[in-house]
Amino acid sequence: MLLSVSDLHKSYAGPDGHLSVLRGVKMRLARGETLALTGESGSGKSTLLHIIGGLDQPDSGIVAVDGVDIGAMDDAGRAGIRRDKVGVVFQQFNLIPSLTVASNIGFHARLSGRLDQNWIKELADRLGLFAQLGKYPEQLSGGQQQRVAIARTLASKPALILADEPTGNLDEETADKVMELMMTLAIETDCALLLVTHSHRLAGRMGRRLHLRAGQIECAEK
Amino acid sequence: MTNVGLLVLLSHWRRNPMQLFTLVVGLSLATALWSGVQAVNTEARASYDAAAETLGEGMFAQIIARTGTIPQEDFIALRRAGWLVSPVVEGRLDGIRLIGTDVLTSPGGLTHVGPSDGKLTVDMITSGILFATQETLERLGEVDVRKFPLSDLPPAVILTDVGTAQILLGLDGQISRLIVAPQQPITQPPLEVIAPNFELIPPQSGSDVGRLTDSFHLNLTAFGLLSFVVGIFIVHGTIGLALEQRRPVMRTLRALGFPLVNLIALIAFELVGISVLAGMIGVGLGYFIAAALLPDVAATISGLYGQSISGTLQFRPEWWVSGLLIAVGGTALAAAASLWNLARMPLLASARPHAWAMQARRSRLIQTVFAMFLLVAACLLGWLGSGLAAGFAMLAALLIGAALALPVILDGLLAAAVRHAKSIIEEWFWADTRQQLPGLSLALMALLIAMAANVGVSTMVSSFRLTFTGFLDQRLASEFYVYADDAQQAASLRAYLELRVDKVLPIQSANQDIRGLPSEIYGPIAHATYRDNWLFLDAVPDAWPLIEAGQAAAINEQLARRAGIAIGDEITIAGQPFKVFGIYGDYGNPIGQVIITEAKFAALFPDIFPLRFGVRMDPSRVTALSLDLRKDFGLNEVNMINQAGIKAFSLAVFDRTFTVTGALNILTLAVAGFAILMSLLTLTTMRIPQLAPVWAQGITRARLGRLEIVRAVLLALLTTALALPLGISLGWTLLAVVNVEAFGWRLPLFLFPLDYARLAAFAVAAAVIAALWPATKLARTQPADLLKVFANER
Repeated sequence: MLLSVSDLHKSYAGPDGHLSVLRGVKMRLARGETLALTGESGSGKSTLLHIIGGLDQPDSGIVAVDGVDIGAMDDAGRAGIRRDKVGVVFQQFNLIPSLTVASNIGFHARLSGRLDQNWIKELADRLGLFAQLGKYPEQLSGGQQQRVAIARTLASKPALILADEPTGNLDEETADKVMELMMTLAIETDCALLLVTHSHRLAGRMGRRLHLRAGQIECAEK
Repeated sequence: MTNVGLLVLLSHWRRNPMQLFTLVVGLSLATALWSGVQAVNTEARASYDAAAETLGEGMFAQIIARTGTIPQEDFIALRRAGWLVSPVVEGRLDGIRLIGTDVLTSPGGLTHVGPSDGKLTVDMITSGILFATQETLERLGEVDVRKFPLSDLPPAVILTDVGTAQILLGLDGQISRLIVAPQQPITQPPLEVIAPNFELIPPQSGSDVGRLTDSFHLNLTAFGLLSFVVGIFIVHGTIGLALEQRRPVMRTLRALGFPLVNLIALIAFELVGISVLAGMIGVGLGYFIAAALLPDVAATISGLYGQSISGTLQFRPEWWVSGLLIAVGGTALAAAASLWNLARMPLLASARPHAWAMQARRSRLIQTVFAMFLLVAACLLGWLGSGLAAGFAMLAALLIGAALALPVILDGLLAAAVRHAKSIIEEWFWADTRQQLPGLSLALMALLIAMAANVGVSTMVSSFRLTFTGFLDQRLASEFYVYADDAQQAASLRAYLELRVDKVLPIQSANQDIRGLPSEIYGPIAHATYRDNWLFLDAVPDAWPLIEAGQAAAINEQLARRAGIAIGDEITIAGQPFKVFGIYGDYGNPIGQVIITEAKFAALFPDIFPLRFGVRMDPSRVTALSLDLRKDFGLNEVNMINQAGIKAFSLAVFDRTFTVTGALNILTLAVAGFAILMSLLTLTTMRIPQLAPVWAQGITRARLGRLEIVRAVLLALLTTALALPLGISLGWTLLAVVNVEAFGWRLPLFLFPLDYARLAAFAVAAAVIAALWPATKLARTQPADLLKVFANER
């Protein structure tokens, strides 16, 4: 099993005391699977995604990626997981403004030592970014920037792709195209895809679907 | 409406206290260094001027008695014969110098004791009053004479009328010396006829070392200005950032109907308020800086002039005014561009938190053009300009031009580094550094100016010291100097010494104008002492043998420059032509000097006999010889000078003089370090959205923190590398342009690589210390804060 989450708890200190965001979350995801995680705002979707991605730490519970519990890891260990196992696509794209599109796409792959120039060229070609490779992120449209973010994630061929509302800032038509591409490429690279979304339409395109309510998995659908 | 607008604007500072702190501290430090240096200068000058004006020493010719004091009857006889002389009675009372003068007969410019309302003059004529500073009067023991405090007088000096001085000093009917008015009747009988035992001493043409001190004051002023410029860079950056960050608020205010003019007026009002506050803090700080520096300056001036200057400060009202004016003026200067941009900002201009940086990038072309213009102007001024103003304009153009060029040069270097990067981290590091450049450039420009000033001034000071040491070796080559009281004693002394030492070098001189410039003609004997130690700046080959053969003369640099005399030109001495075959350095001497052979001198000036002698001998025998001379000739201490002692004293005075410069060096560097710290801290908050994606890709926060320190060190090193040639150019300008224009002599430039390496280490240390806090802050940024970037909560 690529991802295994069990009895995961997370709370934050707020002005009114501790706020429990995740309360005993349990889930599994295998290589090649696609999973949609839906829920209302504040239900804990992004927190769960961040913990799985090694961006945040749980209060308790186990998050195992490729059999390794990342919840018990220190900062450097989690950085290694982010570098070598996981790829994250953010809603805000979060490209590196000082690097060109080409460098942004190759950034994660070079960092993890899995740079494959042919694959990057293919990705750029298929995502319609070939003409943009020499440009800087600020010179691109929102849709183009999101495609760069996806290309960056796929370029390193991670085992697990985490996507947090990846099309939230795009219009419906562009969102559909981007999503289609991401799913196709994820399947081609045999990685697992966990998509956090509000959109039932997008969630419906995933292999499985989990609904999170008040920090707990409410229902799982096929 | 105005109140609401002001409240909204001020709320920014409440939410960004660090920015307000930066602004106030930056401006305070700038004002403090400027006003501190000005205070030191003003105080030192005031003390020296008071001493010079009050005592009239050196300004006028004087008559002294070879036997000691002058009987009052002789003074009366001189006055009756038509000599316009004024008596001075002088001595020590409780260790304090007491001077009695006569207001009625003193020439203009003398006994200028302060408030010239006539009251003091009348008091001095009619009744005995002791005038001195409050401090001096408090030191004075019980005396039965009225005391009057006067702050304008030099310290440790009491001024009174001749009669009171005679009583207090026990010199009844005796006068210490007579001051000779510059304008004398044509028909007066010669002095020798009325008083054959008296000697007329011509007015001093100025103190050699005094001229060096002018140079010292000039350096201090330049340093104060540089420190202020460094501080203003901080203020400029902070004001620019604060206005950029408030753009959304301003846009909202304007959209709600707040007039643009009122908005600008409110911001101007706000800035004036802050600058007045910072100015007051700055003047206060400046006072402490001056108080800390002044003892060194006081010790120096005391060493130079043998006069006490006040080692403590008086808090002068003009400092408050000038300090506040410079703070408000500096803020206006720093804010002008930002306010201009604000005035032109369209109502719907988008809120861009990084517009500050973007703006800098957009204006890079204009900056490059302006920098090039200033650097070319500096070259042209160095080549074609003349006068002190042109020298200072060259310095300003060089410094500002280089500072403006710095971000452009760094950007080019970083772009090249991006292109040649091997790993992705390396590529990101250089690209990210390049992106930070607009935000850091003001601090780096401040560092560049501070470093260049350090290199420039330390080059100048060290070159000065080396030259000065060489000059002392040249001028004080003999191990021992003896002064005779008259020609007869001089002849006996010479005969006596010639039997006991290696060589006796008679020193004889005559005053004469050369090409209309007052000059001294020296006629030394031919000896290796001159050939070995008097080094020529420019000369024909084998100049000394030709000069010693009586065929030519050597002149000092001042005379060569002022009279436009070059090697091979002809000058006329006492009607006889001489070719100039050598030009030598003569640092500190304000007038011209010519060297011819002893034989030629004797032929041209037969009435002049040498009264002074340089003695070449075994240094270990100097003490024994001076004891013999005291026993055999009755010579006292003032007639004998031990070369080693005077050299050590001169060097000590010189080193102490530049202690102040050293302290200012460190202060200026500290201000630049503060600028870097504040820029990095400001950028830290802006950096999180830029660093969060990199962290998310798998770089630890600790590594990001370390990279921030490496970045600061690299930028400091690059800036230092550029500051070195700039600083050396600055040093060259000070030595070869400003000094020549101001004082007439050019000092040679020496390079001091070890000093520069030490300075670079200081700069790197300052950068590391400045980067440590922001880097630690960054390394400790909670993942939750970084995650906000992805959750779009920022």
